[in-house]
Amino acid sequence: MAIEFKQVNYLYKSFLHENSFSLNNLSLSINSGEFILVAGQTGSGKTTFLRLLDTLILPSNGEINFDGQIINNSSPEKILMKVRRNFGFVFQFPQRQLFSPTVLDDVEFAALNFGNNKAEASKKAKEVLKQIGIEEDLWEHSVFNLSVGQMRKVAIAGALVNQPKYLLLDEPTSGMDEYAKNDLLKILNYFHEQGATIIAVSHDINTLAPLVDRAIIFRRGKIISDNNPTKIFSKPMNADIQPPSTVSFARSIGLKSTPLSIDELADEIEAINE
Amino acid sequence: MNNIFGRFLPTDSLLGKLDPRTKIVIDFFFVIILLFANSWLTYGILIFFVAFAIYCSKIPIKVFWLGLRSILSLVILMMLIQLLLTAPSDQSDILISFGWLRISSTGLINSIIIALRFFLMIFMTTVLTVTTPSTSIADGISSLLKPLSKIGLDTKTFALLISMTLRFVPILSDEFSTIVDAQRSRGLSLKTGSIVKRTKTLIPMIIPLISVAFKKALTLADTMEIRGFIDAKSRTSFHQLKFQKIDLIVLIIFTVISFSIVYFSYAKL
Amino acid sequence: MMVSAIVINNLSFSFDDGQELFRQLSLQVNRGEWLSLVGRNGSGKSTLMRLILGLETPSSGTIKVAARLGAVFQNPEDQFIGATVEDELAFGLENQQIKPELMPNKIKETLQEIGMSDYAKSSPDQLSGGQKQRVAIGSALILNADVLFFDEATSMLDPLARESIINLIGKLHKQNPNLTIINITHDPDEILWGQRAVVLEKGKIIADEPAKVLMSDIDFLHHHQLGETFVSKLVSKINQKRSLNRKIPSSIISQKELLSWLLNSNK
Repeated sequence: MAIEFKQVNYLYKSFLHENSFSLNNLSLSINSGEFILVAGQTGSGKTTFLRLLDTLILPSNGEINFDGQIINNSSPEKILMKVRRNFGFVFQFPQRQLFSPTVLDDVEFAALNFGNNKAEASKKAKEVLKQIGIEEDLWEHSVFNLSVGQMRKVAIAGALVNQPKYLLLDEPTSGMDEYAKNDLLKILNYFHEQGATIIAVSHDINTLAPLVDRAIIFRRGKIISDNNPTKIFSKPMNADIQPPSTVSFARSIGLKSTPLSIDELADEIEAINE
Repeated sequence: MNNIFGRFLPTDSLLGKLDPRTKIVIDFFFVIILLFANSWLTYGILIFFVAFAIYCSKIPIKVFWLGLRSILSLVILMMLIQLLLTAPSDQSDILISFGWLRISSTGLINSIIIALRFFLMIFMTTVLTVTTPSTSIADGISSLLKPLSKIGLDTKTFALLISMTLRFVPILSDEFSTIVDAQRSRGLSLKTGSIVKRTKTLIPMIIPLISVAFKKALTLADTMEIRGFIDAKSRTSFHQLKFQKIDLIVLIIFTVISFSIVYFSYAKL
Repeated sequence: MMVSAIVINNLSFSFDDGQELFRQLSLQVNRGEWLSLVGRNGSGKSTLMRLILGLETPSSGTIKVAARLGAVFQNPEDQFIGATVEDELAFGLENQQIKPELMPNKIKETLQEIGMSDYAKSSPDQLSGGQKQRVAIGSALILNADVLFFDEATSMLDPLARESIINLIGKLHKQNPNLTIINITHDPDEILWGQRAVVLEKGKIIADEPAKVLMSDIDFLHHHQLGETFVSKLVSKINQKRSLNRKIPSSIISQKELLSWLLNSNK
């Protein structure tokens, strides 16, 4: 067990929004090496959950245990920084975090902030840029002249530069075409195999369900399901989450199983034919 | 999403029905009248007036509290300055003395008054912006400034600018909090380091804000152009301002209160 | 007889930095058509739309538009000008100098068309992304737009909102036979909603054919890195496991077709 939420409440001071952003009495644990999909409608609390994980916000009450370090409402910034350096967070829009004159500078940023000197930071940045597949001739480019796809990769590199134990992603596939998605999934798989724990908030269930070991579904600040995706989508879903297209198709031809990938679905269809 | 400036909350309240001009005029003169208040009685009247306005707005009180919180640190700073810099008028005025530090009851009262003035002002402006859509505020200002268009001032463009600003302040403030979080997640710390280091932390926050604002502005300009916007002068207005009986009544009540404040402030009751 | 809504002749366009995007591009869009504009990022889809909308100026060539244009962009947050839904719908009417007393009725009608009658006084803060896109559609409809552009307008929405927006577009297109839809999209299943698909690659039209024909040309899609429909992917997977005489034809691209094919072949 690596992270444990103990009866965490988070009250958001929402006033003009009809959606409340609060989280209610949340208890769960996250094991190291897991790949988790977090789903739910807008305002269900899934983004708040990510922010709590990165200690960008603190529990109103309750506590979170990060590998032995306990964080609660009154934890000082110094301790939070210590926890945060184990996390990489990729936000939905890369434009909201890129600012440096060059790609390399931008990727170095988190490494410098978390105590590396310039030489170390530069070495780490180059390494991660290679792993992610950003060509060397782009390293000295301005971040503002990149295509949207490249910007996103640079943002991911910027989050991964410290080789974080935990990678948090907010709607990582939003606005991407299929080939860009496949590119991203390769990167995620690579870091997952290296031992990173990945937690992705996404409504792109078709893309992520076949990959993850665990899915957590939020509704109105509470977890309503937390299980492996096959178990979750084998039950009829509530109106706020759609099952993967593969499952809907399986149901429409009378299959009882829960295939999450097209491969599995094809197998199932062939099985009844024989 | 802590900034409540410019966020309109539709309710079915008396204040929502008022002509925006009435609310703007009252807000404007309220700030002036506030300067006249100089006694517990005059402040009492104003507090009562503001409380009554909040009650009539049907807006939950926590909305006002949130509006206040965003400037609370500023208010506390001003209170402290008053508290520390007000010299005691005589020996009996000193409340606490600790070395060179002397806190006087005059200073204490002054700092409370400062805070009170701020709170009342913020509450009144919040009543205006939360009960009135930004476009109506703009229409109201445009209409009030109409006499100036005779001397060549482009009041319609001015009004549209105000309404756009009111609309985009909250959006950009939400964006800004996302940007700050994105950089904090990369180890930017706003709470540690020297002043120089902390000033430097502004760069990773300001540059993305400018880039996002620029992008939003371009999309917005496209959207306006596609919907046939040429210039603000050649437009009609959906909101027809109607000055009703209720506006007259509210204005009369406010005038009476204003005069009583001025009167009592000179009468020193 | 087909009536053209948009006629593009020999259009050339270069970016400010001199880089050429379009050279002698010609395209004709008929009134009432639903056309999907497909291509990878940087292929010129959005720029072509911006040229037609008059937001960019061509270097040479002509674009004739015999229709009123409206557009819905990707990010629902960036296109909301007004303080409330009704203000937003009124914005275009105000620009057209419509008399204020005529506005409430028009707004009411449009709200009904987009299924937002209960939200006239709502502020954008209170709307979901899907609802904001509905309002953006309404803002075009209220100006009697008969060509609607969608620039990846569903790509940031959750699956349920996406479905409801595409259903709304489908409903509007059915109701008004003269309404032309030009949808820029990455979503292969969305392409099948339209009759025609135009594929752009580096500023050139590399395919212009019925949507069904394009989506069943799997080799072409692979070669140009375009996505396949869910059913196409499933069919190829099943075919990998089957002997030659039992292969499912690649012309089967929709769920309905596949279902009936599976049922028939099982008999």
